Amino acid sequence: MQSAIIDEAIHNLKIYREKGFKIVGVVPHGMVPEELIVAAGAIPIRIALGGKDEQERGDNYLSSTTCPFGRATLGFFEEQHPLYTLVDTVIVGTFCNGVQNVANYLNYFQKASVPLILPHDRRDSSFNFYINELKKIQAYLETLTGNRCTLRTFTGAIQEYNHLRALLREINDYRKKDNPPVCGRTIHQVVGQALLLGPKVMIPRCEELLQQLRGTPKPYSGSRIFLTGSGITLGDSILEVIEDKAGGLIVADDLWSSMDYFLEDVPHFTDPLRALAEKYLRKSLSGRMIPESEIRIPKILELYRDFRAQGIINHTLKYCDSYSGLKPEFRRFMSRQNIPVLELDRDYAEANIGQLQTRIEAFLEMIE
Amino acid sequence: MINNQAEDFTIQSVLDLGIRYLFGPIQIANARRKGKKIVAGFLPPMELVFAAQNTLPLFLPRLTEFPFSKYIGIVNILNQLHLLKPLISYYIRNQEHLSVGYFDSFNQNEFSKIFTSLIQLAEKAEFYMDTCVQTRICYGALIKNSKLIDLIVGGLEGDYCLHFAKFYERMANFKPVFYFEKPYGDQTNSTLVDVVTAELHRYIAALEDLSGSTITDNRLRKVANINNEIRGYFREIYNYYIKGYVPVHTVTLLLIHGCYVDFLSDIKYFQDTMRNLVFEMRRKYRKGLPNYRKENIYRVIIAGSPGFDPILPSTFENAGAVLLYLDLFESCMRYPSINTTGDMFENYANYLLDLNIKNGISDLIDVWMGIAKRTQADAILFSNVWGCRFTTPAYRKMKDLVNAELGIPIFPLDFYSPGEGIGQVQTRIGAFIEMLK
Repeated sequence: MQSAIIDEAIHNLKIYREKGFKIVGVVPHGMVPEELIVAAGAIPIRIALGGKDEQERGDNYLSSTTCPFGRATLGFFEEQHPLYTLVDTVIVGTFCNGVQNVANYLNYFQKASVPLILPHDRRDSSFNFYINELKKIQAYLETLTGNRCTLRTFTGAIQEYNHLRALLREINDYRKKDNPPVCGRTIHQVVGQALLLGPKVMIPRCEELLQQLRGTPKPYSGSRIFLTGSGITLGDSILEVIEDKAGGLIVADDLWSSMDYFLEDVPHFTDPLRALAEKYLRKSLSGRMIPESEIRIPKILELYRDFRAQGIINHTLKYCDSYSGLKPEFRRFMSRQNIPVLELDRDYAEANIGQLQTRIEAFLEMIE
Repeated sequence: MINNQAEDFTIQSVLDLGIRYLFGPIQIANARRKGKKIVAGFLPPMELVFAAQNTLPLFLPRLTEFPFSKYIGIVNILNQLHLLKPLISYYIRNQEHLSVGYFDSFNQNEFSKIFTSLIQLAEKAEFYMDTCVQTRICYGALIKNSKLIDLIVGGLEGDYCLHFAKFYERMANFKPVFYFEKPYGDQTNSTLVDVVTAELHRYIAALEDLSGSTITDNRLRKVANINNEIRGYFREIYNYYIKGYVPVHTVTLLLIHGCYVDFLSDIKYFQDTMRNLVFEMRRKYRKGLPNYRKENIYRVIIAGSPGFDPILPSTFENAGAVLLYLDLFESCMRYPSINTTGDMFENYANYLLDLNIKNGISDLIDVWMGIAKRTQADAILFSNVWGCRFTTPAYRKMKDLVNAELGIPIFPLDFYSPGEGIGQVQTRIGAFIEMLK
């Protein structure tokens, strides 16, 4: 399924390029408004592939204690993956060290880039700083495309993305059911497609999926899991391990690769950049923001209860600082709420999949 | 010939710095008894804390007690009576025939053991161990000494290292933390200027709350003047290296770095001692610094992560080279002094912006390249401190740049924890220096 999504994205992007559109890759997970890229008349694609072989290739550039995503991303650029070769420029920045490290080597692959500098907090001065960064990106994109962002182009892009997000929320709400017709993989696949194909392709596809869901599709069952931690990249098999092999059912999450993508809309606006900053900075669920107790943790508790999860899997990619540093605090906090937590720490190497599966199975038995 | 590190302690001001550094536990205990507030931090500069009354900055690892610390009281008295320096000189001249408890216990293995014990404390407290040795040590030091601390200040480094940012968030579980937000950029970004100005006011307010005193423009100016003077001394010391001399041992450079974090919790003392150190260097320089000529000494600068095994400098010496750790000195050369006329809040904000990172790791690569060029280094050691997400991934970039622009060897060296794999390190460094020869 995932390779089909990637093939489709490559096909679509080639057509866009033939028509003269610029393709903009986005590395910082979930904190760059794709609406801004669309408003400038370019095509966004999220840099979201992960893979074992590419992680190893990335070791030619980055140290082994850099996150697997950062290393794999450079590996994909080095092997000239057809999706990444189509990218004209890449938005990078200070989301985390993995993202910064990708930026440091993009010129080795003749890829232009522009940094989005991100603050760690949401105070007014940081909020205004972030808006100014968006202005900088806007100017860069306008130069790249030769188009001006106007209130009309912003409105069109924001409405389109809000529409897609509303549909995704509707699909996602089916996960609240006892035996839901969608599982964690379903949502990840749909969001994965959105990250690469954009709302134009995905809005009709989501409407079609909703039609199917209103019928009587096959239900999923299993121990109800809330998944948190590092995002799941396309090509990563961990969801199959949790749901297919171990028998879990992921009913909710706070990941950039899933629910954080669509939970919040861009609010009504007079100033589009300010409105984008409301969603992408103030409402971001990302663990790189400080303190986590402000937005992320309360939201996890709310979702955990709304979706009637029975336990949390806190999954981190090795050296992912957004989520690894405060794992014990997270576990202790959830323990005080009587919520069991399983911690998984891994990279894209598949050698330890069997061991992971055993640990997940034991956890699922425990929470049943 | 390269001096043994102990010979630096025949320089009176190095002796003073070393003793004051080791005096940390007693100094802080006395300060607490007098009701002073303690502000802990891990990276320089923390001098703004001095602008608040009855408040001291503290670099937590300075509270580490070594086996030789039990003698520190008597050593301090001997030093004040001007007896210590001649004793050390005597010891150095006759060390092959002497066994003196204090000097015998003053070796790198003890440093390794103590730092390892702090790392073990951090591990026991479930610290995230896939991280750099510096934060593991600092977290252990926090666990050990948290009762002594009133406030933790951090954040400036969190902008380039997300782990550091989360490290401070975690510390907030123990003690109040002031996290200073300062994203990349310079004065041309007006919203960044607003962020730094707002953060500076918030920081000053936090210090005023803690100390119960008002931080005036005049107090800020006084601290800025001292800081400027100290940084001027660093520039002067650096100039000796640029001229081809090695006026102090690398262990002394490490000591100066360590003292600069919190100005030894006594800015006036640090200012006076640095002034004396520079006077002594001038005298030695005029005499020709006979033991430190460049000829036949391979000068290897250290780049990469700010941290290395304490045994590394002597390992280089044994191999016939000198390792130079000059990041702080280069930064003093590059960045202007604090303006001390007009509005001091604005001046400090500008100073923080001057020091700010503009382009991520490229800024540091510029610093390392600058040191290598200025000191005409023979080679570069790139310290890969295991777990450092900011500097270690830059090795490939740095190596390519060094090959293209300098044509000198660059040598990566991994470092996980003090004292680990020493034999292998010594062999590799020996082979590297042989290759240089």
